Amino acid sequence: MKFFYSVSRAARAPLSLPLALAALLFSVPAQAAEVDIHGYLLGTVSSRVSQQPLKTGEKNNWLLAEERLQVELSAESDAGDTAMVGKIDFLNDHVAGSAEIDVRELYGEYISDSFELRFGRQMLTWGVTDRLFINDVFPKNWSAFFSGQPLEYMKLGSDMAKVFVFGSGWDVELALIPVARFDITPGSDRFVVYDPGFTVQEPKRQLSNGEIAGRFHTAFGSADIALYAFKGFWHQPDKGLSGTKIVYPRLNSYGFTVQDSVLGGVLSVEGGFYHSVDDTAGIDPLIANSQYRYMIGYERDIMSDVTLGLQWYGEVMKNHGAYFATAQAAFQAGVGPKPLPAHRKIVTANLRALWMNQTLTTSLFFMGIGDGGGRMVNPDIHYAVTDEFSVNVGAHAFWDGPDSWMLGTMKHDDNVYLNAKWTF
Amino acid sequence: MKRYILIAIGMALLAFNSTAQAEESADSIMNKAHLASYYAANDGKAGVHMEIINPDGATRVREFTILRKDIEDGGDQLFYIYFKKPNDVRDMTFLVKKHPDRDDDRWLFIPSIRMVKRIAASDARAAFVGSDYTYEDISGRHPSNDNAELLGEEELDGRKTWVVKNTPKEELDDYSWRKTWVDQETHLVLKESYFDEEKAEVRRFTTDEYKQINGFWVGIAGTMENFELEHKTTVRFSDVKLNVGVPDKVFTERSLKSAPKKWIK
Repeated sequence: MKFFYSVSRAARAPLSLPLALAALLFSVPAQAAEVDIHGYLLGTVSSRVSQQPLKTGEKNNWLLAEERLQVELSAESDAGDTAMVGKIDFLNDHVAGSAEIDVRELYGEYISDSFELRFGRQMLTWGVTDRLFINDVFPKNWSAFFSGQPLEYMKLGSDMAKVFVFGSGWDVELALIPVARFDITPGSDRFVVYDPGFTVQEPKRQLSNGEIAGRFHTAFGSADIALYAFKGFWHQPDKGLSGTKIVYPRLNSYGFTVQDSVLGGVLSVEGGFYHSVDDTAGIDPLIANSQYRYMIGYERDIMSDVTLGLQWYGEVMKNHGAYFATAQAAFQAGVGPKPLPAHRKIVTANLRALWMNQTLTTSLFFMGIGDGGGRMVNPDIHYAVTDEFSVNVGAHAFWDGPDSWMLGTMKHDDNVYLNAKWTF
Repeated sequence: MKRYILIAIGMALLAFNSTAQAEESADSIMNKAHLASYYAANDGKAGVHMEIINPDGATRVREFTILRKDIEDGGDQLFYIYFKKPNDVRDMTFLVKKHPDRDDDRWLFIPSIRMVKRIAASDARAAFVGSDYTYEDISGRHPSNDNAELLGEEELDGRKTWVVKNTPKEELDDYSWRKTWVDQETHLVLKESYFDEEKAEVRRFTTDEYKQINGFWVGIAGTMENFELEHKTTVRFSDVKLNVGVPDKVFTERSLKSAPKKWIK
C-alpha cells in the first residue's frame, strides 16, 4: 500500500473464460428448484472540491457520477448441494461516458458435509484489520475507497477455484487463482495524483503465474486463531531496474491473526512476513524489499451504540540500508519516489455511532501515516430512510505527506460524495 | 470450619428475618421464569418476524431464523441467526456464545465481502437490530443480576400470576426497576413493566400469545413498547421446533460463512 505508480486502467478485469465456463457447467446439473432475484439500484456522485486541474490539464472535478444496477441471481438444486450465484453490475459511468458490465461475483458451488467447492469469480476477506491489509492478499479498489463508493466496492472478486474444508473445531480455505487480479489505485484520469506515466505490465497468463492462498482457522478457548500463506505477486506495481515498464514483483507471504474478547471489547493482533522473491537481498532499489507487517487493534463500545476502534499498524523493511542508498539517489535525481522509512507506522481511529433506532449511522474514520506520510479523515453519514431506500453522504480530506506516497499523493483530491441506494 | 460458621450465621439470619422466606421464593420464581422463557428444551429453532413501529406508524420489518442450543440450563447457550429481511442485511449471519458470568462472544458475517467480523459485546442494553428489544431481552437477563421481591399474586387476563419486583443490582441507564407478572402454570413472563426513578412506566413487555410445543410452553407473540419514544416492536415466532438436535457445527465460523441450509429454511 504505497501508490508509487497509479494503476487505474487495468480496472475492470474481464472474467476469465475457463472459470466462467466451469461455473456455468457446474450449474447445469443443478436443476434449479429455487431461483432468487435480488439486487439494488445505486446512484453515486463524488466530486473533488479543489480547483486544481488534473495532471492532464483537464478541468474535471468529478470522481464519480454513475448509476449501477446490481442484479443478484441465485439458483439452488432441490437437494441444496449445488448452487449458482451471480452478482452483476450494469454500470452507466457519466465521467467516462461509457456503459459497462462489472461482474462482481459469478460462481458455482458444491456443498457437502465436510467440504465446499466454489468455482468462478468470488470475494474473500481475510485478516482482522480495518481498511489496512496484511493477510488479506486479495485485490482492492483504492480508487473506489477514496472516492466514496460503498465500502464493499473496496474489495474486488478474483477468479478462483476455492476449497473450504471443515473439521471439528477447525476449517481451511484454499484458493487457487489462475490469473492474478491487481489493485486499482487512484488514477490521474480523475485524481490529481503522482503518476510518472509508466505502462504497467501484468505477468504473462500462464499456469506458473497463478496465485495460491490458504487460511487455517481454529479456536483456542474464546480466541480465534488463524494462519495464512500466500504465493503470488505484490498487488501494487514497482519499476524494475530495466526500462520504462512497471511490473508486479513476485511475493510470498506468511502470517497469523489472533482475536479475542478482552475487557468488554475485541482485541485483534495480526502479523505477517512479506517475502519479496524477486529481490530477496534488497539490492534492487525499485523493487519492494521484504518486510514484516503487524497490526494491533482494539474496538469497544464507549457508550450505548457508540463504538471506537483503534489500530496501530507497522511495516518493517528488511535490508533498508541497501534500499535507501540507491532509492535516495534516484529520488534526488528526480527519477524515483521518496524512499520509505525502515519502519513505516500507520494509526487509524474509527468512531461510529448509531442513532434513531439504528437507522442513522454516523462515523468518523481517521488515518495518519508516521514520518509525515500524510493524513486522511473521512466523516460519513448513512440513513436508512425505509427498509428499501437509504442515502449516504460523506467527505474525504487529505493533508501532509510527500507527493509520491499514499495519502500525500491525494492532497488535492479532497472530495464530497453521495450514494443513494434502493434495494429489491 | 469457616464454612460451617458462615452457614450457621446464614441460617440464623434466615430464622430471624421474616422477609427472607418471601425473597427466596421470589428468586425461585424468577429462576423458573428465566428457564421457561430462555431454556425450554435443549435446543430449538424458530422463524422470527419483527415489526418496528415508529410514532408515525411507519413500520420496518426484520425477518430471521434463530437457532439455539443450551450448553447448560440457566448457563451458557449458543445462538445462530440468519437474516432474511430487510434486503440490505439479507444472508447476513450472526453467532453468539452467551456466557451469563462474563461478556458474550459475538461474530457477524458480512456476505457482500465475505468477511467474518468479531464484535464487541459489553453492552447488553443496546438495541437488537434497531428494535425496542435489547440484546438482553432476546437472550435473557440472568436473575442473579437482580434483587427480586415478591409483591403478591394477581389475576392477569384470567391467568393466575405471581407479581415480582426486580431491582437491578447494578444501576442501569434506561430503567430503575421492573414489575414482572409470571404465569403460575407455564412460568412464562406474561407482562413486564419497566419503571424509572419517578415510578413512571417507561417500557412494557407483553406476551400476546403462547402455546404448548413438544410439551413446553412457548411465548410465540410479544410486544415491547417504549413509552418515552412512543415506539414499539412486535415479534411473532413461526415454525417453532424444540429438541430437534441442532448440531454443534451450526455454531461455528464455518456456518457463518456457509449457512446450514437445512436448518435455516
